[in-house]
Amino acid sequence: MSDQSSLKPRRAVLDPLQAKRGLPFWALTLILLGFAALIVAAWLLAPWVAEDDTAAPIGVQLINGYGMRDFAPLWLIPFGAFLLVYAALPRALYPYLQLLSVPFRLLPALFGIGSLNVVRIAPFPPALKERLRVPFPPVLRILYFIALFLSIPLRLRSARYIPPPISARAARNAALIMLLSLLYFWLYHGQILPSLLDALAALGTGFWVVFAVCLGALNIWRITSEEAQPMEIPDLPVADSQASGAERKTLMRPESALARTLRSRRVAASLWQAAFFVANIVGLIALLVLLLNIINQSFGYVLVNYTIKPSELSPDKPLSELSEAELARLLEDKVSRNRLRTIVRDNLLGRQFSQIRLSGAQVINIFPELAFDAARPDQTFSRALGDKRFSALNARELLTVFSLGFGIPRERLENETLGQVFKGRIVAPALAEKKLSELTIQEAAELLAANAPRPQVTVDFLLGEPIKKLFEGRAFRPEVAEKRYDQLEMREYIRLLEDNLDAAQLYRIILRDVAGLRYDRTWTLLESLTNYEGILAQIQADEKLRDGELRFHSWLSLEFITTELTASPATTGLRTSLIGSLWVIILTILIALPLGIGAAIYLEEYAEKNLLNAVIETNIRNLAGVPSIIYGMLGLAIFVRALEQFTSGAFIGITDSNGRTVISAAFTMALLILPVVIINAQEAIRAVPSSIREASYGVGATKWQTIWRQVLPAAFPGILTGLILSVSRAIGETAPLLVVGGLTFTLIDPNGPFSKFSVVPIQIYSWTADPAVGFRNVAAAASIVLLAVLLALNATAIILRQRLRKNLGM
Amino acid sequence: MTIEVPTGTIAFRTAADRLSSITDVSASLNKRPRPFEDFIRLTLFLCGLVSVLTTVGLVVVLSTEAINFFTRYGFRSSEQLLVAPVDAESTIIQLDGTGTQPRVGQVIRVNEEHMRVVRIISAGRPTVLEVERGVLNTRPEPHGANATMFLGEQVSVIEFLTGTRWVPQGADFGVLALVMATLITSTVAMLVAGPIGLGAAIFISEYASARLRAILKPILEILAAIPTVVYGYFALTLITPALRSIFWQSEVGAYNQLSAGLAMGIMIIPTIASVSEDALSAVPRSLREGSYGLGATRRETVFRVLIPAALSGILAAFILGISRAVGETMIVAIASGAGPNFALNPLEAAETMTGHIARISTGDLSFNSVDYNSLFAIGLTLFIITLVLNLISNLIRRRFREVYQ
Repeated sequence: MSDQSSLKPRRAVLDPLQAKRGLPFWALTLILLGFAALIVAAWLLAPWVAEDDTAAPIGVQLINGYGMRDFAPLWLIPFGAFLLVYAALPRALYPYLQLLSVPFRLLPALFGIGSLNVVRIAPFPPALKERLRVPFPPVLRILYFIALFLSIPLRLRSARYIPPPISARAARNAALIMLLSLLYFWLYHGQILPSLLDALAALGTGFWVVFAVCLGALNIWRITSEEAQPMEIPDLPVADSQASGAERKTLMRPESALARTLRSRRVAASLWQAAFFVANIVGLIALLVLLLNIINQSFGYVLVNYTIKPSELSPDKPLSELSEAELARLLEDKVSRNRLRTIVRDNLLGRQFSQIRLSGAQVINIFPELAFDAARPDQTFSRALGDKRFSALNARELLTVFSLGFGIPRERLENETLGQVFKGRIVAPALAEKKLSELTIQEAAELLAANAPRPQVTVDFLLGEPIKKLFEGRAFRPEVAEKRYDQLEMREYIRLLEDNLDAAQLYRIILRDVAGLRYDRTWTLLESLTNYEGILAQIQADEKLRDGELRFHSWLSLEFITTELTASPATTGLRTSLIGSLWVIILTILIALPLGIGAAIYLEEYAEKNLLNAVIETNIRNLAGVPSIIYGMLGLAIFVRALEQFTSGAFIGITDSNGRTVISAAFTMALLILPVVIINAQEAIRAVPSSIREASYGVGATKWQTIWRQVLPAAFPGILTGLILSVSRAIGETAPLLVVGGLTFTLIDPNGPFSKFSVVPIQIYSWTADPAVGFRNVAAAASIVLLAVLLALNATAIILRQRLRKNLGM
Repeated sequence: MTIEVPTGTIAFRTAADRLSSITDVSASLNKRPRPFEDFIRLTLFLCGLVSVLTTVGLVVVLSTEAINFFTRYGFRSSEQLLVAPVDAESTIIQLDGTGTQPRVGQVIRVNEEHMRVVRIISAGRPTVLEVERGVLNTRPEPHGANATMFLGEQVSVIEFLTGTRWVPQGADFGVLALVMATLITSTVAMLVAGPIGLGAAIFISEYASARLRAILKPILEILAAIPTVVYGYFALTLITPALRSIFWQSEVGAYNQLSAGLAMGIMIIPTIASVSEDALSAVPRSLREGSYGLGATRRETVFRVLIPAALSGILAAFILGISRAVGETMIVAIASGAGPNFALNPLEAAETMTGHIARISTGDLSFNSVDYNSLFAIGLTLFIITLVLNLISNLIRRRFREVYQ
């Protein structure tokens, strides 16, 4: 990087233009403080002002008419920011302020035309008013006021840098016109000679518009043309510091052609410099807006509502203070058996255990498209047949089901063997010689499941499973082990809940499933802070919302991080996906780190300059640029499908999972970050000075001893930095994990490398895409958690890198 | 080397004897084989080979599944029924002539058997065909009358590459619908990120003081570290409503490519900025100082000396940005819509290649369906595009790099 300090101007020496500076800083501050006081007054008065404001004091009407009430609180923000910026601005940036002020002159004019207020009160004929009614949205109106406020002091202060005659006049005239408009509004609402002043104000506003536009254009033309008056020349190096003041002034005569072209070039240079600076600011602004948006959505008012209020469930003690036994009794008393079954199923078994699987499917659920249709009675199931469970079918009904479901004529099913009838489909060899009427219900279920119309139809789906299989790995009493799920009594369901959950979880279950906690509406932080009356009005306006309770809720809380995933945003939490992320990342590091370091060591230390190694190096660099979703597809095809025996845990006896497990995800992510890890490790190893290696060889160490004991420890901080950066990228990756099988909804925490999983970014994705009330907010809260983790990781990496640079003396 | 002292003889120990017994150099000085070193070398070589295996695996997987996609037959009903029953041996079948006629050489299916049309004996009602029985690993079997005939269609590569509708149920597999959306979002992203990234890079490397640089560079790094899901959330919850309030709500859909493109642009600003800045800093000081010595302003130096000198790096940065934009998934999956749509208007919703892959994968995906295979065909297209872009970028970097002493 070139050292540009030698090229900086020494301003103290070269300052030929001691022109008038415009208003002093203290005066400006007073003016700005005055405006600030106006805004604060507007904010305080705001609740009092209604739509029909003819009875309100003139000042209030003035504020109201200008539309200030709506945005009064927002003004404080750019205002305060502007004061701070102005105070902290180094003088070096004044030329840029000058140039920035030029568009600011045009903006108020443009928005003046479109502002609803001007059109509303100007004395145009109504038809014309309708045509001119441009509904400028709130965003632009806010920008208008920001531009208005920023431009005033800029106009007044920039007198130095624009040819003085024009700028002073411009400032005066602009200020005059604005005062005139303000006066007009005041007087109009005071109803003094409205029509005459209407005309005057319309004229004045129009004049202001035209004037400002012309002025802006004129100024731009002037400062870039050749007839510009002498200006400060910031970049010209000092020719001769010994020359006296008078001589310096005549070094370059202002009227010469060279000086003129020089000036215009200088101005162009300043313009472009401002443009480049603005490019940086855009990035900063985007970042700020993104973060503020997320924070905005994570806190705010919510409208809490219950299906059954907790006070009705537990009139004596508050619900949160009941013990586990009391909560269990509450469940027993207040909840029906069917409801209890659903609660146990959702909370202990996970939502993927459908009701059908738990108790044997009804025929209608196996072939829903064959539901009874009066128009085609012989091609659909009768109602009685449809409601029967598959496990209870007799031979004739089984025949009907198979014939209608698979489109095979009954005669064939009755007379031919299964091998002939089911040709082209999957038939176990043992069954091929039998006829359908000779099968047991278990065999029929297996046959049906093997040729299932949809993937969910399994044998267990059809027949239901005993408790000992459903609750394998969890607590259940021996007396229910052989019973089927739908055959338990209420007390036994409650005992299952008690055995597997603690009081806090039971409380949450009751809150969620019995009391039915839900949030009917949510509001952002900005709305909550600034528009409380509006929120109340919205609640009153909608009768469905009226009996809820308005509460300020922080979506990001410790409870959010430690609660498991549910289907309702009011009670959902991030714990399941955090654990999933943790599992995936740890396994990824364990796989990628040795492979990456090994490859880097090979490429740096052992590889000769032959074709194969060149291919490997180019290959790594190309792989670093492959989109991440392609890695996901690679993982899907290889780890999930081809290597399913290993990744589903079948080789160690796990039989109820498929290849979409944590280990597949970890391998895929390891492949994803491997190129970056290798490149970083290569650079770290390269940075180790060769003197260390040579000294090690000199004392007789072998190559590997050198690497293991000298090079690697020296390169380790660099490798670690690269690893941390790759890991932070891996944590935020969604697409490959989606393809490999990350779930968007799962109730069971991942508890091993062979379990199904979900990760935080996938959770954010599924919540963002869900339009129901409240999901945006939990997505924002989860984003904050994710960003916090990433920030911590990146900060660690940066600190490590700084310390590394210091150690190596860079 | 040992000095043998014969036993039994009187051996008096000389100084040499004593010395040689102390320094018993009995080991040979040949190089000892060190199997552990060789083992380590082999292991490390295998580690290095993993990356090659990854590429090979990528290419193989994408190609084989894509080939499966292009060779599988999808069957659509022709609305024609068999007029008369057919036994297992005859090669003549009669159809009722309504509906779609098969072509010569087309594969058709009746019940479970696939046949190929050899000759159309007579068209009209009834249609009589001579067929080859039992192709594609099916066995000839008798068929009753009134069995429906299904027409087999393959997806040709030309149709895949030039079609503009992607509707799998209607057997329309035109990838241009997805590619156009990718193109539009990437173009919007580059229009945003190109000037801003380059301007930021120029400012950081030329105009900024060390203090300002220390503030601006971390900001860019933070922008680069934000996960893309969060950008997608930002696009959907802030940019889309802002666009809808600036433009008329009827023009801008709730999902549109413009907001996805804007968010992508913000995301790739740091990429372009950092690579361009590296390129600009690599230009030696002598060029800059020569330019200042001739009296150029800083801006003229930047535009006439530095950018041409660093052009290879800047172009490489742009192409890197484009390839990142093309490969981006989550922003478009969230903000850009869920239906393939060949739309040139960025205010409409359309699904890109990557968004389509992501959406299909999250559903129930069975391993032999046409959806699964089509995923890999799209993936292959995407892979080829990004590979070509990366190769071009490397080529530019190598060819146009100006070498300074």
